[in-house]
Amino acid sequence: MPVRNHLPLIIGAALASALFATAVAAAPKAEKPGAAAAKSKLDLPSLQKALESGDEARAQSALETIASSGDPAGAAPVEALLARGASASLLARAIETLGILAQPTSGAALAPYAQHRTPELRRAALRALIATQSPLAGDVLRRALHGSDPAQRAIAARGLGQLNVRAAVPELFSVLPKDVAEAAQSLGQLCVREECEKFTELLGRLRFEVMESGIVPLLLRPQADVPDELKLKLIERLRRMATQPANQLLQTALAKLPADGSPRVKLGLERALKGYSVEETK
Amino acid sequence: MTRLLSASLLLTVACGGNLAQGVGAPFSETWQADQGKSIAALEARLRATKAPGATAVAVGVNDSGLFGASLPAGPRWTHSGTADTVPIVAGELVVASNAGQLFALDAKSGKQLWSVAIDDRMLRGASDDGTYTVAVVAADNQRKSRFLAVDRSGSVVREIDSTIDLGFPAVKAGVAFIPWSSQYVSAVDLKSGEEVARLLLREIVTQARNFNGELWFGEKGLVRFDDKIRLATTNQGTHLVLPARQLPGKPVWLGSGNQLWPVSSSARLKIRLAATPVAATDGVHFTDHAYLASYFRVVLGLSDQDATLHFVKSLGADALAMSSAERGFAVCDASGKVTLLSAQGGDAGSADLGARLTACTVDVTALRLEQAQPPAPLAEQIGQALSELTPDMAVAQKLLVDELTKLDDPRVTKILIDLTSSAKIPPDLRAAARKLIATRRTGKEYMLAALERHYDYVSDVLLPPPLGPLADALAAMNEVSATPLLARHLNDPANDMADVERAAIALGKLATPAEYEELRTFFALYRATADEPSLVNAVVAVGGALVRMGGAPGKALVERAAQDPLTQSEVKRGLTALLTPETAAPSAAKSPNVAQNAQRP
Repeated sequence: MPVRNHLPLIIGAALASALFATAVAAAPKAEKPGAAAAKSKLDLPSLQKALESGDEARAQSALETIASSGDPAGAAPVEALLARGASASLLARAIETLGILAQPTSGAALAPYAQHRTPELRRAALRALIATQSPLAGDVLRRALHGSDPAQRAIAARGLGQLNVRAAVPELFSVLPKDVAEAAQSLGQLCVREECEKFTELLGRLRFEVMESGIVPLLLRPQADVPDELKLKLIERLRRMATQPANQLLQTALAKLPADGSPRVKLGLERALKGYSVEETK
Repeated sequence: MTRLLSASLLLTVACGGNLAQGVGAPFSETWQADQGKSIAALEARLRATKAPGATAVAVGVNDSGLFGASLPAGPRWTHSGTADTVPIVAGELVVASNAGQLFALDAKSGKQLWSVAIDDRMLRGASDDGTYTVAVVAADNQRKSRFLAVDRSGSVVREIDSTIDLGFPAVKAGVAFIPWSSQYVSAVDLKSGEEVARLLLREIVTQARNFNGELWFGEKGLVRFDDKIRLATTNQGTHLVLPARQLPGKPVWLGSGNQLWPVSSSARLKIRLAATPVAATDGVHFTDHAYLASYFRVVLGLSDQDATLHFVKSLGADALAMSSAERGFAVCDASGKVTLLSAQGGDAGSADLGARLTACTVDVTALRLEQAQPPAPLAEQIGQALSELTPDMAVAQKLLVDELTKLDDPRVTKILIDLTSSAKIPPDLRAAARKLIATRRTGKEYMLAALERHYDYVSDVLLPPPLGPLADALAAMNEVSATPLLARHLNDPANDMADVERAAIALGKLATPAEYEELRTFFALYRATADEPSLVNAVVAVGGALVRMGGAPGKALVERAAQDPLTQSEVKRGLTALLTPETAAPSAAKSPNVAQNAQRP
């Protein structure tokens, strides 16, 4: 996959970028350098000193302070800590803190940890990356989908949908039959037209439990991405399954359908729930 | 010297109802050793007459019938009704037994020529001289051997029941040669019923065989029936034996002529040797100077001098029968296919018997098979065979891997790498292949190609490459072009930690400034989280590389880490040693180095 070979560069760039961030220390991410620091209520020099002290307790305390403040300006010293490396417990808290602060620029510091040998750290890094919505996150999540850790693949599959990474659709289709059920949800969110048709054709071929998380998202997609015809076809297939879980999905879709949603889809759902064919709504 | 037989010998010799007995009767207990005179006189008498060679044919057996085909490309035939022991090609006939009947088929057409009752016995051995067919039949319980001579009309011209086991017989010019008591071969004139000569051998003799018109006696080794036969009693006859070699399943060549070869799915039929002795101007040897060894789906072609491997052929099904031709070989397998091979192991055609088989017999001793396509290089043959073997063939796999290491061919490196990546390969063998990769010094391009690969769940690449052994080999080869690939593997958590350690050690020696970022990432991630010795070693090795090629920033990075209380204590110790020139050498010696790694799987 093309994404594979780029990753070392991404990681290298990420770390370089993170180290650069160390130099600019408390520079806030989403704002002009200096502006956030100026506004911040955090005592950034003191926090930075604590994080660089090598004292585990002091560093943990500093991380607590930054996390509880929710202040984006606190992200930079935490990113610098990740770039230097630290004990596993500090790293875990630092990664979590960056997830809380949700600064897109934290992606550079988090990306290398998505490949850490400690499963908990790399899973936490993936979750934090999703939270930051970093521009790097898509590629890192795609890479994680190729990895050997099932939990990591599940997080990545879910995150790719959340971050709207359309480029990952082929990979999500690859892992879906391999029991990465989270890929279904993302495919339901990301697919367009033929892709959605391909997805719905898997219903009945793959286990329902694998597919079900993608069905409601797909039914709620706008007509431009997923034509009503395909949605009605899917509703009819679910109706014909005549199972309680399938019925439950129809109910959920109807309940979540926006007020300005497609009247045909709404009618189809209503008819299906009453046991009538949706053919007549076409 | 009079030789007394310890076992009682009960003989009933029938010839049209007449009994032949007394002096000259077969298998006499009172026979006096004659220093080979009688057998030598017989040999001189028969020398001008050549026994007919066997028709080139393959005959398979299953529950429903016999399936034959003339070779190399003759017509196919079938015969309804099965066989209880493996049929035997005897001259122009195929002799078999089933349900108390001994029968002969025309080898070319499958037409039944005759059938005679043999009570509850089964075929043990048979031969034909163009006029008479001789056979030894026996029951499951020993001591019920019967010798039969049958003419073309199906008349039994001679029948001898014996309480002593009779071996596999041969016949030439109306004289039958019958091994018995594992020591003697009695030559019986089929017309008179008299024993006209006797051969006493000093090695086990249970087989009298006709190989392409020449008679040979013995079992493990064979003595030729020629002008030196008189000296055979004193081990000075023309003798030929296959070279000794440990082979998978301990296959036998002819085996004991005193045993039956029942048609069954037994492994015994699938683990065999095949060779055809021949006398030439330069002495006796085996045709093609080679012999075949089968082990289920693999057939090895081996030198008749030193048993070195000439070729390997992997089959689609278990080998059931093999034959060495004047030139080339034939192998009949359980799928019903007969594979014809040139003397070099190249393709020489094939035949299809048209049915799945339980047993098979094939005889191409009189053929000269021409090569249609030369064989692939031996390394590729071995690689192909290894890729097709199933995990339960570990013994054969080991032998083939051992053979691979004897070859000075860069492709061996690729084959070994492929072995480590195959889920079909048992763990022991995979470990052996990994160990061997570390010792390779050729095939750099295959090593680099392997390092391009990573674990990839999406693409079903579920085994990472053998990173550690590749790193060892490439470091020993000073292969700097490998460094970007090795560096990339450092940060791939799918790699085994011990492999990462070896890659780090290789990078400690080879890394260039181009790998600085990858190494720095690794260093940052693990300097404080290294929780096992191999990871500690890896971090220290990478620290060493950063100091060596990272310039001032690299050195500063390592110095800071050595000072940081958060750095893992063992890592810290290693880094401190790195930064202290006078202690660097002893510290480094504590870590596994490339040479030591060569011993690791």
